[in-house]
Amino acid sequence: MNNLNQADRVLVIASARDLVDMIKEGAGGNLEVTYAANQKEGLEKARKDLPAIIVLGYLEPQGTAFQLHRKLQEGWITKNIPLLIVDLQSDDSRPVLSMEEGLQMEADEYLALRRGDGQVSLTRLAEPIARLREKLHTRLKTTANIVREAILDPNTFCVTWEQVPGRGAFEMQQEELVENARRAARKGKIHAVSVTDNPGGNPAISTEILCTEVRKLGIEPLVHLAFRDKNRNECESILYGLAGLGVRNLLLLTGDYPSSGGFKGRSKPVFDLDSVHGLQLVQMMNNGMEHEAMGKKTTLAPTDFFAGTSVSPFKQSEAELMGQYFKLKKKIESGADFVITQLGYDARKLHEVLTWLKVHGYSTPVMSNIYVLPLGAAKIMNTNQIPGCVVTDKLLEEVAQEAKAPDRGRSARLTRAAKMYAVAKGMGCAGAHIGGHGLTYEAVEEIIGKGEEMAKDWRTLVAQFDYPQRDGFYYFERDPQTGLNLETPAARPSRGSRTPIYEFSRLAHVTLFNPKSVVFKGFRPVARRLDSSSTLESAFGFFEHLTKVALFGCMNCGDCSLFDVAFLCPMSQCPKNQRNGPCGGSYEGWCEVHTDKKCVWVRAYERLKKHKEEEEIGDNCVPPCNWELMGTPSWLNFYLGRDHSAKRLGIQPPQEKAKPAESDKAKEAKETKKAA
Amino acid sequence: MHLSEFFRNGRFVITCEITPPKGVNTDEFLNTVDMVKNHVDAVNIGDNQRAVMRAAALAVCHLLKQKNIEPVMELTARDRNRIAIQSDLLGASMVGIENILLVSGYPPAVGDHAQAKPVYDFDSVSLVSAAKSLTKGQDVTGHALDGAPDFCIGVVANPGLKPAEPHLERLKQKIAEGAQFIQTQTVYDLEVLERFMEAVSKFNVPVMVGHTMLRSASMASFMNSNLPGVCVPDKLIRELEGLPKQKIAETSLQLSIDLLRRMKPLCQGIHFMVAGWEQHMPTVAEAVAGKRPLRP
Ligand code: SF4
Repeated sequence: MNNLNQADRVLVIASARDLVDMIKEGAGGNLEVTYAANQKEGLEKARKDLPAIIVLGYLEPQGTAFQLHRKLQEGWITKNIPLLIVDLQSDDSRPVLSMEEGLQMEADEYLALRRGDGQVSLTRLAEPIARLREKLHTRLKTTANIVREAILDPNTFCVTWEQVPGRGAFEMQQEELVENARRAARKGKIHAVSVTDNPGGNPAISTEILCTEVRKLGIEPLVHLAFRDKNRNECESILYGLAGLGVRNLLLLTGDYPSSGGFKGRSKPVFDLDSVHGLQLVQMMNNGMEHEAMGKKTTLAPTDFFAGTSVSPFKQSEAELMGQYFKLKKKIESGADFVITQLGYDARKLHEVLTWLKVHGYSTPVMSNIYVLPLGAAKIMNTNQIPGCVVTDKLLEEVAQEAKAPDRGRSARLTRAAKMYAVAKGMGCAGAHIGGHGLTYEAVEEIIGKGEEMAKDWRTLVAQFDYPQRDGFYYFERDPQTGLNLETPAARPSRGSRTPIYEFSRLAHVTLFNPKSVVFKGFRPVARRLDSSSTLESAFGFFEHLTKVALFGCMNCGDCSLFDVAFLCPMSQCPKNQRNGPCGGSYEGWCEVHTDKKCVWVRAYERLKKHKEEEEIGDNCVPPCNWELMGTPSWLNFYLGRDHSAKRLGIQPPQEKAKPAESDKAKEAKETKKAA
Repeated sequence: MHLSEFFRNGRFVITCEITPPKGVNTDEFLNTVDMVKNHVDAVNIGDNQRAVMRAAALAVCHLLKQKNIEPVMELTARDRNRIAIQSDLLGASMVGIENILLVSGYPPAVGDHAQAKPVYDFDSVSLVSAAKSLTKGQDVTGHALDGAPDFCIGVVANPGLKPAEPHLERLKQKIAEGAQFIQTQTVYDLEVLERFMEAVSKFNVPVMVGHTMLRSASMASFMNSNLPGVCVPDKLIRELEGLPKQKIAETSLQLSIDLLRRMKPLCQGIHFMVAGWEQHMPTVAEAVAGKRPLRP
């Protein structure tokens, strides 16, 4: 998960090896020093190994070091690697750079280390070595991802500040956003500035581009990446761009449904990936993605993303909340480095996430969402107009009271935020994600300052954040002493529901789609026959489609996910096409988008609960729909081992079709047998 | 036109050094000249500056003259004996070069031909007296010239050099021999310049303070350890250290502007030495000295 090794590699490029010895001597055990003796080798190693620091010394012939310094500074791959030029001067040595070259130097650091002639013994170089070590370590600190360090370090409370970009290129909202980032960078009290991605499903200026600007201002950006508007290729493409520009911190989110305010109407919702898929993609990229190009397998250089996601514990019903935790399990298994909670004000709910993680043996850090709540926003959230954000009647009433003060509630809401900060910190969160409309940097500092002061007394503040929802379900039993949670799961009263379609589908599934069943074995040759003729295939496809449209509202995606969602089609029944669990937007069980329909994941939970199988929701990470199969009969795809369900069950494609591959495998198997 | 004319008219004079091509292709060189030409009173052309072999300053200055750009031709004593020095000066005058900067020149060891034989037949003082003598119609051995050149003679000084006395003594001699203006090594400390200006005030010769924009913290450290007399204060280096690359130029230009604005009342001009950062020179010059009116 935390690939910190990369940060410890130092590449030394110099004609003579003495620098290597000095660095090894000075650096202590935790630096891995590699060496290149000339320009060509140096460039190759720098590009391939992506060291944390490059140290450049004298290179034969004179002038080479300067040339190489230019190439490293300008090269796309190496431009972000700190470059330290070390001049080991003695009376008989040539300088690394001539005077003219020195005046044009753009390396990150230049260090002239004086040594007498013929001084080879390292002990006599103690002083220069110490300086070199100091420089290396300060440099390593500048390349380290301070957000990652702050979140992972139990002694640091990470603070991020959420910025909301708006529509338009030259608007005050963008001006303020950049100004906020600039102030934050200058003051150095917060670790990252996060920029939301088309907030509220409205078009806004691109978060990726703003984030690279934020980085230039000298503060780490946290890029929100929502899957509402981008398909998998676009996401991958953006991620390459961000990695290439040195932007490393991500928050991967499903995203709100597109608003109706798009250009000439509502935009097409994409939702090609869900957040579980997004995390898997990032994980794959961080490990060095393998792909095939022109028949050759290649591995891409690993990226260094630190990716978080969100979780929404502020859910009212058992089914919704359980869905959140099932999905969280998948997110963690897919490599989530941290999670940020959805907006809510119930301390027991925040504590619930921490307890859930602890009880399930996960050490994923949690950032608490602290939204500075003015009356206007409270009213909107109270009537559930912002999906997933919970403000209860009791809280609304309090905020309304506060707003009557001469400062219209400003100090009260900042104090509330500071108290939340204190509670989150005391409770064991890794950090706070602070947000709020029109929040100034000074206000954020005030929250941090007061929050830190109150953090030691956090237990006394818990009672002020007691905002249960009407009949709200909690995962754990309440701890009467603290007002928070015990580690005993609460009873889950829902009895589930029985629907004829589901019961029928279950039955059909067991008989027709079980690779061990007689029917399956018998039908497989038939499936092959059908598949071999396009007329037969389309006739069969038509028949299948008719049946499935009638029963499930099938969209003919060809990569059927009915098995994964208790026979509810996520392509047609879930507006966000969620395949791995609910989005965070449902309200008291109702879908965020079609507010007159139950969320499919709530229905799925109920259906499975009846059979005590609800835990299965958290079992498998379902891959995104394979659009190659679009419009083809999914039953055949299953029978012939082409769709994701077949692959999971180990159904192989028939042998003749993939002859060479199969025979290779057979050979291999024989050989391993022999070897055994 | 003589630089001394500008000074006499009370103009705050700005020059910028531009490196001649290494080779015979002049495209890049002329492009660079275009970047600065409307923002300077003259362009300094180095003579195998910092001991790096390049196209002859004389020819390059001639090229500028043809384009109606005023050059200041640098001439060093490193690569020529007294015969070559005088002959080059006469040649320069013949093609219309009027402003010359006479320097002894960095030794070959700092440049790209470390094995070259250093000549130094003349030192910087005798250089000035030779040029002056030519303008009076005589060569250094007393032979009459058929037509005397007309030069405005400049010399260099290094305000940060320690100890200062011997250096100032030489400067005094150069002026006594006929130097008419001074271009200094780059100075980053207002106090250093103040002290220097006080010391040279009695010479009554216009001084152009030298300035090199800081391209990076590393380049500043390099100057500190390799250029005698140059000292970039730690405070300035720290301003640049650890800045994201994209922000360095912006910050560095601001540092230059702040510094030069404070130096401007002390001196009579600025001489930019910006090796490779010519594109930024107009921004700084304009911020410090205002838009340049067309040449008087
Ligand atoms: S059905 Fe559920 S998961 Fe899908 S969009 Fe609606 S609320 Fe979200």
